[in-house]
Amino acid sequence: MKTKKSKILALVISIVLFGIIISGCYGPGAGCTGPGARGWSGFSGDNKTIYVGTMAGEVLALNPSARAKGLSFPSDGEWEYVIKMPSSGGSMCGPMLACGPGSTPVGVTIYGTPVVSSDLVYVGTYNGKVYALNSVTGALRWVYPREGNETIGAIVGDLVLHDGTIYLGSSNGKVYALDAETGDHKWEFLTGDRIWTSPAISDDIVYVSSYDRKLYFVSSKDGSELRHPLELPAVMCSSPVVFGDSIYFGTFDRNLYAVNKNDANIRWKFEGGNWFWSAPLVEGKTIYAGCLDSKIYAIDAETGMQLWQFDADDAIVSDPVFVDELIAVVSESGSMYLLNKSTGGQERTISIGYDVMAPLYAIGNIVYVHGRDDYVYGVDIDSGQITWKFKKVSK
Amino acid sequence: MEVWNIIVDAVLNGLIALSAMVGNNFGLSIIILTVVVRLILYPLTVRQTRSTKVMQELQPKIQELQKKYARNQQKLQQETMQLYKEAKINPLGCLWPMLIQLPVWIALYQSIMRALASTPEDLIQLSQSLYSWPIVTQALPLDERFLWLHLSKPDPYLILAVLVGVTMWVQQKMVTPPPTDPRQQSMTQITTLMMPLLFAMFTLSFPSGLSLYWAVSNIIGIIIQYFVSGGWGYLKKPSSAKSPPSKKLPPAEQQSKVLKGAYQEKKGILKK
Repeated sequence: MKTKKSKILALVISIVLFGIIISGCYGPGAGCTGPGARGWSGFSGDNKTIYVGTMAGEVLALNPSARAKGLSFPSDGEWEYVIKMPSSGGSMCGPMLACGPGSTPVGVTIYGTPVVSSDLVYVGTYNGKVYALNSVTGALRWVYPREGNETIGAIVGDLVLHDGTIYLGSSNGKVYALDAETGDHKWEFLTGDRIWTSPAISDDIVYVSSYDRKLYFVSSKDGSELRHPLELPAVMCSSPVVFGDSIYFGTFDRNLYAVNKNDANIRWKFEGGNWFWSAPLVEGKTIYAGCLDSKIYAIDAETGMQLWQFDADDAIVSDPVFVDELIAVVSESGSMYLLNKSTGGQERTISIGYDVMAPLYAIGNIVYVHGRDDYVYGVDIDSGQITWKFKKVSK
Repeated sequence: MEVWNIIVDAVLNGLIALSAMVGNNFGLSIIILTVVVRLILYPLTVRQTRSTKVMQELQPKIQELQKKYARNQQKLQQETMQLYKEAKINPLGCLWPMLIQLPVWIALYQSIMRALASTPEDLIQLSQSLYSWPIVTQALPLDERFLWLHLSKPDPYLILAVLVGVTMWVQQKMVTPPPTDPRQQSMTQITTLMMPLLFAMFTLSFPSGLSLYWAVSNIIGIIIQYFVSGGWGYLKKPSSAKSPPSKKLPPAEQQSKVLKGAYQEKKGILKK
């Protein structure tokens, strides 16, 4: 009888503990090591070819015309490059759990949007490597760091191409400048903590923020620090945007800041209901900022006063994009809103049908969306229809 | 589910605020919160420990009854219940405190997992659980370094795995009586080893912040067990299955009650 009771008790405890572990790892918002880092690459390119990084660690060149016709992949002008890594630099792994994005064997996650020059496509990976690929063939031109196992720490923000140099921030706390043609290391600048945002460059100054709550002003020429960093009240969560003589960014204290780029003084701050995670859009005297409080705010760039706000159905993680006189915004749950820039009036809503965290990209009247299902959606703004969708099936 | 999220969010924000108060040291805040929670639950833990202890002390008598009424299950149940009644315990009573504590452990566990937010996706998910308290917003992101550990990653030196496994084994060993039946010996040994080994294996893969919580929780459990039970319990006693049952005698008062009951019952049968 005792043995039976002990067995039952042991079974109950085991089931409960197993439940704890499962609910802790994979429950809503649990944040365990399982499905954590999947990436959210955006798009770059033109109406002939768009480039995107998939959640399986592939860089794709897609021909929108071929995708709209439903032709087999790869079609004319299309290619794929599968990034393979022997180990993980930024993601978590252990003896019992696979490294990198879930259990995908190629094991590379891409957060940053590919950057395109005249003949190369650049991609930074969460596993701490930068790749330069031929934009026509997809052949590897160079990789940094050069050695197979060597990494520089997880790259979460976008790469920035400026004057023949690739600039990027890494989770190892360093800003790197690489020669865009050769991948040669030009300089590096060490901050006090990891960098998860993109640098912004204007007038030969690299504006970059680290999780040490500082905004740095670094020379794009040689990586020297040009002025004392601006101490922020909280960590910067959105990538900075430089427009005119101001730098705009959101921080973890739920504010959107405007900082004078000449004297580094805070001009104004605007408080939202949560973090301004996505990079704000600026046009004329208006800033459009998506917030994790499920709102899109239009703010006067001069005064920081709210002009209008629009309530979405979920948090805004993706960067919004301008489409003609409209602004396209997508919520995390996949509702795309087309709003009037002047009034915030809702012109149209299009359901993507899946969660979206990647930045939007627009060419002409087509908005490209990268869903959490790893599908690329082509959305015709005029008709309000998803005209095509495509997912590369990993081998 | 909504209520559950409110509880987890409260623990999560408390943990982050605590971290800010102790100099942005998340490892220290995990230890402090674990200690605080275990102190709050101390009365329940003591009750559970005592119930478990009495239950174990009654085991020899229950075995006697099992032998005696091997062919009369109904009588066996009656006598067993009578024994529990005399000892003033509910056989399921020792489970209730544990069941009440479980939601607290789960909430603490999930809060640690959420707060560590090691990936960008996790960080966005975390934002939905945070209060607008300045102390919380300014504490983020948490510094994951603590001693030799990166709290969002497994301990590379396996120290925590050993610590979690050993402390859990000690805790179990303190309350697990050595089997009187040699046939049960291997089963008991496996049961005693299974959970520590399982958790040690989890520790190899899970964030060390969580392993830290397990280790601290186990150590506090051992301390409580030590003082409530008055020593190391069965950890220091011989675990040989060959030991006669008489070496694990319960307190004399309770034993006499059982024997007295058995004697009176026997007397009644003879009279009939």
